[in-house]
Amino acid sequence: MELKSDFDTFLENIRPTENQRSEMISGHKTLRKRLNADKNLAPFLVSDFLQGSYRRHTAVRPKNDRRSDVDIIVVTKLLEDEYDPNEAMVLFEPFLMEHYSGKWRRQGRSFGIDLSYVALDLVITSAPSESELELFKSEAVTTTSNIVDARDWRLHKSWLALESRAQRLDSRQLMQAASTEAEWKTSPLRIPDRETDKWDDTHPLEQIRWTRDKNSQTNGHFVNVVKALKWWRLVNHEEPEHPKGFPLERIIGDCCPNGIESIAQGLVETLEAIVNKYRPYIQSQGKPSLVDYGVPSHDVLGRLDGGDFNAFWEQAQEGSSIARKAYDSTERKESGLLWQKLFGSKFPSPPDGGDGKGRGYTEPTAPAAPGAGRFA
Amino acid sequence: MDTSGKKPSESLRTGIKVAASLENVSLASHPFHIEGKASWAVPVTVRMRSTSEYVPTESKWIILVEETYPFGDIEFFPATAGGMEATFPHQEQNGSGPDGRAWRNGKLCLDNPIERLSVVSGPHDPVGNADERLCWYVRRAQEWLRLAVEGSLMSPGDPFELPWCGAKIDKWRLVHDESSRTFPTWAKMKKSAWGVIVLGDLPEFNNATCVVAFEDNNGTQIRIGPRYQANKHASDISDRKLGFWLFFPQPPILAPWHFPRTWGELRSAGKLQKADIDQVFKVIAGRVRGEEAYLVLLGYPIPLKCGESACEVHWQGLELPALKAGGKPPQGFRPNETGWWMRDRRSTLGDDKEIKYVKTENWSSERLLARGGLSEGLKSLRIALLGCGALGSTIAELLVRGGAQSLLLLDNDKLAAGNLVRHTLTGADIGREKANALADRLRSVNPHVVIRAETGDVPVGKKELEELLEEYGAVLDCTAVADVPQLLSHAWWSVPRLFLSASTGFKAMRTFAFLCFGNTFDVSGFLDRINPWLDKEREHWSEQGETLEGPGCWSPLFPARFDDVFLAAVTCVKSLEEYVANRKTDSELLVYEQSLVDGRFAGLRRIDEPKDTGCENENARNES
Repeated sequence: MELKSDFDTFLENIRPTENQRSEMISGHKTLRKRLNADKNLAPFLVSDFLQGSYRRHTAVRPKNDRRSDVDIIVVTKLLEDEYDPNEAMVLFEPFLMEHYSGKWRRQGRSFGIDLSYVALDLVITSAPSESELELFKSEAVTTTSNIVDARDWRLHKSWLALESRAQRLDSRQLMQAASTEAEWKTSPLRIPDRETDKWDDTHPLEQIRWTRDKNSQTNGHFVNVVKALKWWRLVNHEEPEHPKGFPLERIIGDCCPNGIESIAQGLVETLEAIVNKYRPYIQSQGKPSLVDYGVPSHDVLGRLDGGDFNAFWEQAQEGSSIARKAYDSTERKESGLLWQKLFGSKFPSPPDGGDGKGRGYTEPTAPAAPGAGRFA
Repeated sequence: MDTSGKKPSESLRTGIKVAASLENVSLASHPFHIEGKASWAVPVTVRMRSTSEYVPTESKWIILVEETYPFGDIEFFPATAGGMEATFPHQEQNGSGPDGRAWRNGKLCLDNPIERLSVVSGPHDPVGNADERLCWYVRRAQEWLRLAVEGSLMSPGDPFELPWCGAKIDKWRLVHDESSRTFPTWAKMKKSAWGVIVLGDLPEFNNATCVVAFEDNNGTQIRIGPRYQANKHASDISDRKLGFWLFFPQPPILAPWHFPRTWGELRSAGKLQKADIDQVFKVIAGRVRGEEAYLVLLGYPIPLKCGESACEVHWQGLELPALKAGGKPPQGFRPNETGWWMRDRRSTLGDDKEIKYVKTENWSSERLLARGGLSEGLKSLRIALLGCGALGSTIAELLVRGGAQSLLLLDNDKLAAGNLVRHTLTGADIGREKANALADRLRSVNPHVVIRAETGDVPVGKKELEELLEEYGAVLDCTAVADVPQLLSHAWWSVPRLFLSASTGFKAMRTFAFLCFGNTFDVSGFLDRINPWLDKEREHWSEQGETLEGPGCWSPLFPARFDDVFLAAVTCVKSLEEYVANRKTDSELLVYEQSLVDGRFAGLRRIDEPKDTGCENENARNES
């Protein structure tokens, strides 16, 4: 059974908490304000924007009350032949010391800033090409809305952030242009590589765009399939830690079929696809290579250990068989318990005696109010 | 002595005696009775200390006093013999009266509240006081004359009064919608100009003739009114109903404040502004010869207060008589357009011919709503009303009469006789689709509103619903159907809009107005807030039992009287207006409940929590 209502509750239970979501917005807003007000940094800032799982609506809440990671990318005008990645990052340290003293740290190629409920993960870019500066300052890039809340998001100069639309008299015309005209063509941004001695390509906007398109091809269920499977791994399979985060999301993107009508259907078919599609790799002790959206030279699974992938595949095999039973079952209680086996206690327990079979006619206790008791 | 044998009453004789004793005023001859008006004509002579071009040292006046003095009307007219001939501000057009009548037409406006007149005579007409009353009027007339000499009958700061026109022709029911909003189009014109007006009908308003567009002589639109339809009134359609406009940058008057009564006077007034009336009408005559009468609008800018800059154009219609084609031209002219024009110039449009002014009204929405309309923010929203039942139809009535400009009406039902107890539609609409009938009704109460009516259910398909409501800035759910809030929450619109889900509870004692703003309807916010109230409502149902239409009907009705539904509708409109005015975007449920104090109706109270409702209300209502 699809148990739509139960899955709605489950998704509500695993999404980042109210506190995490509101601090994500307020934390980002404050950071943005402070960056733009900083006399030393402002001259070479272009803009900053939300990337990562929050922006793509694929974030799940961390276990054990840990802080939720919020990925922010800061686009600068720093030229690569003047600054290597380390030098560029050092420029930001006085700012961090001033505003986030005791709460920030250098973590390889990014900075981490600890707030109460979220941890901002700040990554710095080098200068993009002149012709793309307008793009990076546009509302389409800088909006804090994710691709589900802003379901008409397109990378277009006329696209307006949700908050702007009520104020403007020309919203309708601008949104009309944004929805019908072609999107901007964009190049990758350049951020520090893992060793922070070279600039390397990344394309968060393309990742966001790809996710948006996949989501609309799957009736809005793709991002929920991602969240559910992230949770499945967190709850059932703490080992191995990887794949997680974007690599896991990428795998699901490779395997989730289009046209799915429910999250339940998406889950069972994705897990089955993982098993079938990657079986050849398992047989040869290898792993697939999956290119990053917008950066064809990167293999998202490049750093994933072959043994970990193997273990993951076997977990998927087990999971797919449970999911198939849960999906095919026509008994409410049985189906509910099977799904719960995959997802743990955040998935609601089925009601007792809730098998929907032959309860018979119950005598009404009061006269029926016509309609639901409201009148117009 | 009046030959009729009648004598003025004791009161009037006293009144005349007191008035005639005023300085500079004397009775010119004996009062005489005017049979047809049940009045006495009192001839007086007024002497002025200072004079002007139009005000002589001595002038003769006829005061018409009704027999019921010191009650009834008192009117001041210049006498035909020895009376002033000019028209001033605050005076009716002062032409000569019919042959043989003792007074001219130019009645003085003495009872309008011109404060400066009150300085002399006191602010209030002492009706009923025989000694004082006629005297009061005479003093005011003297003051009027003094101001006329000074030229300050219209003083800076006074409300601007139009020069008197006295239009009589009613048959066109001519209306237009000029306002300060449309003024910029005309403000640019520094010289007299003329062009074409396109006319339309207002079938819901007794077929009033309305001006739907102004064009210049090249067919270029200068401005269009709200009833303009491109497919009916565009300049390239040959069967448009047309007329003409003639604009003057200043009021076309003859000093001091005389609006042209005849064609000759119009020519003179035009000449003062370097406007050649004949040149204009010659061309017009060429276009309309052989056809029926045409409308011509004379227009000029007017201010709100004297001394201020003009803010609006005032239009006064006139009927251009049908001009004959063919026939004999005057001596020395050929039988062609020039010849026939010369004939018309001397006869139909001769200098001494009275202009046939047409009653013209300004029906701009500013004027129609002058007595009170909705806020600008609410009026300008395009509103989609889902559900045209008791509550929906009443809300729609309040919105449209209040000036709402654009509405969508959707309903799936037809009007039945049992609905009349609580609906704005009437018996003539029974059997008609509610949405269509309501659209017709609402168009008849506001000439500016644009209404689209759709019959059917609220679309279940997301895309269909999104398309239907795309253009609307406010969506009002007056269906009281549980599905509709859900359907609205499945749809999503790029441009955020306001939602109101309006309904009442049992017997419309409570009103539930849920408001939210965004790209979609906040259904979880709605259900969270309304469900506790619906639980409370269930108590009333279980106590009361079912309401049925009559024997043979099994399906239960929802009892609610019109007065209670009306209160609910008013509450919803006010809540909507406040929400818009305060630019709110948070979801909120406003609950209003009828309250009783000492068993008497005490209005509606806003209640925040279900537990706050008064016990007295519930007991009393359940008993009724």
